[in-house]
Amino acid sequence: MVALALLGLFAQDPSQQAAAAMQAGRFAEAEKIYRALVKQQPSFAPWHANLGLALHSQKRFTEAIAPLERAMKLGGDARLAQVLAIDYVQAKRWADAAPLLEKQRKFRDAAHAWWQARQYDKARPLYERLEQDFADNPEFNFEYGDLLARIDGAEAALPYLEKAQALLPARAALGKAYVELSRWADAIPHLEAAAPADPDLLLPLSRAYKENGRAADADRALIEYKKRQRPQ
Amino acid sequence: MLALLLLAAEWTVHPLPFTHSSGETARKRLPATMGGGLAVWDFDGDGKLDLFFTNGAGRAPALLRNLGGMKFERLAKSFAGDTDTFGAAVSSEGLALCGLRSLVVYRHDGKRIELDNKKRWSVGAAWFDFDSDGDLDLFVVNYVRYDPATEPECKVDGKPDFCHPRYYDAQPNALFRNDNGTFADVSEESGIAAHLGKGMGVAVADFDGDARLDLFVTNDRMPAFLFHNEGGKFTEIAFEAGVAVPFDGKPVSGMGADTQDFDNDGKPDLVYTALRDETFPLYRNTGAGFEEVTAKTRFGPLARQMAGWGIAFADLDNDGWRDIAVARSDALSNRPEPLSWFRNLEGTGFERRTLPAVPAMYRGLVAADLDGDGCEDLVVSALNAQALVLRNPCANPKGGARRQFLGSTTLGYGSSLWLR
Repeated sequence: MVALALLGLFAQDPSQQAAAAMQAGRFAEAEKIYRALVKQQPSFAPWHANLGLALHSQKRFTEAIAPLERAMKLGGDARLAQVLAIDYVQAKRWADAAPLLEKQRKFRDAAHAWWQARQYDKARPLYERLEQDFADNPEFNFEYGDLLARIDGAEAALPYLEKAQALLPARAALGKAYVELSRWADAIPHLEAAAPADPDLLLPLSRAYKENGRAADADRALIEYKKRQRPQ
Repeated sequence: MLALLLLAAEWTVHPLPFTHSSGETARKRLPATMGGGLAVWDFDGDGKLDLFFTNGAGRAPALLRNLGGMKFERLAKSFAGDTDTFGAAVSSEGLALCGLRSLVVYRHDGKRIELDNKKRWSVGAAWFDFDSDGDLDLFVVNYVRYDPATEPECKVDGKPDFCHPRYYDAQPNALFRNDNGTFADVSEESGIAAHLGKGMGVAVADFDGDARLDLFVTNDRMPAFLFHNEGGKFTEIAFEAGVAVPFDGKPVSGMGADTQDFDNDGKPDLVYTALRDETFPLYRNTGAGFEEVTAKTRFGPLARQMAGWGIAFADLDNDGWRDIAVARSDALSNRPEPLSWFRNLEGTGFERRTLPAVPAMYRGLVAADLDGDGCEDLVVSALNAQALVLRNPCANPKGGARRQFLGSTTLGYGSSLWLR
């Protein structure tokens, strides 16, 4: 009888219920309980953390961010920061993800996040540091080349972009770099390859055709480009 | 002694008795991102340039009298009926004031004239004689079609934020012909109204040397316009001239614009601001069109991480080469930035310099010699912050690319109109 009563009490402890639900993979149920617990004890970090984890486990990454941030403010640990970094990345909040990733010494991911956040001055030292390790990695070379094209100019970017030609975005960047350097004939095949996926490239392609003596192709590309630039 | 002289050669910051109010609320309505237009002219004829600031949040603009010695007093002169203004343009004809629903000209004799801008949201203007009849006409930059009742609600990173311009329709700019002090809307017959845009800034010059003034108009996330004046009628030729979009074909968030001769070849060049990672496109006038030199001059890489609004060519170090000053800040979120200027390296490149003002949401900017020392100072406005004058240390008062100054305005976001 006593044992039954204790079991009843135990079963009624919401934190235990939530933990059991988490363990059993019933994340929606756990979420509901943790939401109630957060309301009851808004300054208790574990409830926020577990609510965040319940949402994260349901792949609701964007929603998970607020409770995880709250938990971190209330004293969350490094493991929680790892989950938060993943959620920032999933939510494409690159500028928030990058410093966490850097702190976790995930330098390749941090470089990517800073590059995505367009904070090139922060990304650059990481790419420099990783350059030897990723010398043959097309993604790395594309990102680093793209970064250099933006902050140092086309000349500096070329060696990296040329090594990343397997990637379509790299061909777009390479085509633009050649245009910037007035290497019209070199630009054309890359821009032709990349333009179907990025019609803005029809303009530099038109210029490259024109400068390469292909006036009719230049006109055609320009007309197509203008068609796509009508007011939204 | 040398050290003392060097110390004295610093820009100094002078807060002004005007604080802008944007009216930003949690609802994040688009007009709260705009504003900060200003104008500079000697309104009382005492030989010193005075200052005019537009204002938001249901508040009236402000007129500040220059008392000399970088002291300014705010005048009680009332613009009470002209709240929620964004841009201003001044000339011998008067002061044009651009608003969300209104367009007003204050003549210098005090007369107030309301122009019918068809309830369009105007953000900037420029006075110029488009029909060569000897008086100044008014070009008006209209931004997007805006209706608070149907304005969408947008979020960035899960939080309410201002909506991207793609959520709003484009609309035409306007042109008003000055007929002896009355203004006739000639937008249709001049060809201006045939082009829908999301106008932000305007720069006026005779770009092709045919003795007629042309118009360059920036658009927000759309190709820019270059209206070629063909004797009272305009043809839009931005693509043909090479200034519609940067070389990579990506339309940018065109903001303020200015035109001056930065390479001293006698032809007016073009520059305008845009947002982070878009650079501030810079075009050299070749006489047969424009060559984009954003990358070649290193101006692009230097400005890559900046967002800019007001911009002005001005010879800030008086070395005979026009530098570029920029009022910086992001558009949609509260990301303050410092003020910057870019020193012109004899027309071949630029180097970045920072001004001492604290980071803010800077918007309007005008370069003008406010203390009569022969060097151009900077007047800046910022959203929800005190306006500032930055006094030029004037290390070389006798040099410089000189021009007669009659008045300058920021046209919504910093485009300057110099009346020669």
